[in-house]
Amino acid sequence: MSVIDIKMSAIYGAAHDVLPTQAADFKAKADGITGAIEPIVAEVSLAGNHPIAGDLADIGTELFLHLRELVRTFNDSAVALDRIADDFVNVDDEAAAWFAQHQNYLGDPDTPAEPTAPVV
Amino acid sequence: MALIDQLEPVFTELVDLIGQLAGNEAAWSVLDGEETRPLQDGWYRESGYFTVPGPYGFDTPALYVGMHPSHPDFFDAEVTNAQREQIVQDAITQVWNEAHDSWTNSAVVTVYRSVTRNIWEPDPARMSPGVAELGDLTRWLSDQLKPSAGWAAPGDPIAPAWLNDLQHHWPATSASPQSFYAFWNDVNDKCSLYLHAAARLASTSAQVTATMSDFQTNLLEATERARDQAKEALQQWQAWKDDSGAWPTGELEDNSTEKVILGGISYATGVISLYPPAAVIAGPISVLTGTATYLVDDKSVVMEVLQAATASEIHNGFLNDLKEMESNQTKALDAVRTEPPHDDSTTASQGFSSYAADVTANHQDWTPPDVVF
Repeated sequence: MSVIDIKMSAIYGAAHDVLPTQAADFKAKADGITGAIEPIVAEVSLAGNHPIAGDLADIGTELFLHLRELVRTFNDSAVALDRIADDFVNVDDEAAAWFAQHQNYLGDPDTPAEPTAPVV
Repeated sequence: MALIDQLEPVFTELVDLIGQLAGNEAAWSVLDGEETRPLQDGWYRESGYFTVPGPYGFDTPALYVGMHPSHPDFFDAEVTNAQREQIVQDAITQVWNEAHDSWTNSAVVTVYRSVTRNIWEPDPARMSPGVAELGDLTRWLSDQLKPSAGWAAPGDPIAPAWLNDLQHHWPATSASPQSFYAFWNDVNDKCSLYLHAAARLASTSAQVTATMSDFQTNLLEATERARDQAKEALQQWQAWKDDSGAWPTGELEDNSTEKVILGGISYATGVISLYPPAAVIAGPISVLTGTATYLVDDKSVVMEVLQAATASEIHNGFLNDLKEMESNQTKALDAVRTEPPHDDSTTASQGFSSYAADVTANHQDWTPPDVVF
C-alpha cells in the first residue's frame, strides 16, 4: 500500500464508512431508548401517576440526549473529514490521482438521520 | 386478554353471590319475624316448611304463626293455616328477590372497578419489550468498555488502524484535529457513565413492571378468593339448615397458609434483589414470569373478606381489601423508587429517584466533548 493510499483511505474511510457506521449504531440505541421508555412511562402513569414514572422518563431522556450528541458528533466529524479530504484532493496532484480511482467517495458521506426523541 | 376482561366477570359473579346472601338474610328476617311475633289468645306457632330460593337455595323447617284449632273462629276462618304458610313463603320469595336484585342492579361492580383502576389499567405486557430493549442497551454499552471497541487515542495499542493512519498521514492542508482524537478516546469513558444509568434504568423498569404485573395477578386471585368466600358462606347457609352446624359468623378458615394474596409481595427487597442492575449487565431478564419467585412468608396480609360471612361484611371487607391492595401497590412502587439496589456493580448506593436527580444534574459532565476541525 502506497503512502497516498494509506493517507487517503484513512480519511475517506473514516468519513464515509467508520463514522457513519458508529453514528448508525448509536442512533439505533437512542431510538431504542425512545421506543422503550415511552410505553413504560405511559403505563406507569396509569398506576396512579406514580412519581417513579418521572424518574424513569428523566434518566431515559438524559441517556437519549447523550447518545444523540454522540450521533451528531460522529456525523459532523464525518462531514468535516470529507471536506478536509476534498480540499486536499483539490490542491494535491497525488491525492487527485488517487481520488480519480476512488469515485465511491464522491459526494457527501451518507450519514444517518438523527434519532427520534422520546415524548414523555 | 386485558386484565379487566378477566376481572369483571368475577366481580359480577361476586356481586350476584353477595346478593344471594342478602336474599338469605332477608328471608331469615321474615322467619325471625314469625318466631318473635307476640301471640294473641287462640294463636300458636305451627311448624312449616319453607324454601329459600336461589342457586344456593334450600328448604328449611321453621315456625309460623297460625290459628290454633281451639280458636273459636278456627273452622270459619277465611284463611287457612296452609294459606298462612304460603303467605310466609311468598314473603320469603319476594324479599329474597328484592334483596338480591338490589345488589345485582347496583353500581357495586363499577365501584370495584373504580377503586382498583390503578392496578388493572396499566398493561405490564406493553412495558416488557421496553425492559428487554433497555437491557440490550445496557449490555451494548458494556461492550463499549472492552478494548476491542477501540475507543482510544491514536498510537494506543487498542486504537484502530485507521485512527493511527489518520494521525500519521493527516493532510498538510489542515490543522491536526486534536479535539476529534480526544472525543474518540473519551467515548468509552462516557459509555461507562451511561452504562450505570442504563443498568439502573433497565433494572428499575424491570422492578416496576414485575411489581405491577404481580399486583395484577394478586388482584385477580384476591377477587376469586372473595367470590369463593361468598360461595362458601352460601354453602354454609345450606349446611346450617341441614342442622349440621352453627350459624357461620366468619372465621371460616385459617388463612395463615395464604401467602399469595395482597401481602405476598415483598415491597422492597424482594423485587429489587430479583432485578438488580448487575443482573441486567449479566444477561436478559424476564419480568412477567409471575409471583412465586419472591414471596416473603412473613409479610402476608390476611384478606378482610376471608373473615366475613354476611353480604355486607363480604362487600365491605372486599372493598377494604381492594383499597389496601391499591395503596400497597403505591407503597411497593415507592420502595422501588427510594430503596438503594445494594448492588456493587454500580456506583449508585442511593435510591433511584435521587440517582435520577444526579444524572440530570450531571448533564454537562456527561456530555461528550466538542469537536472542532
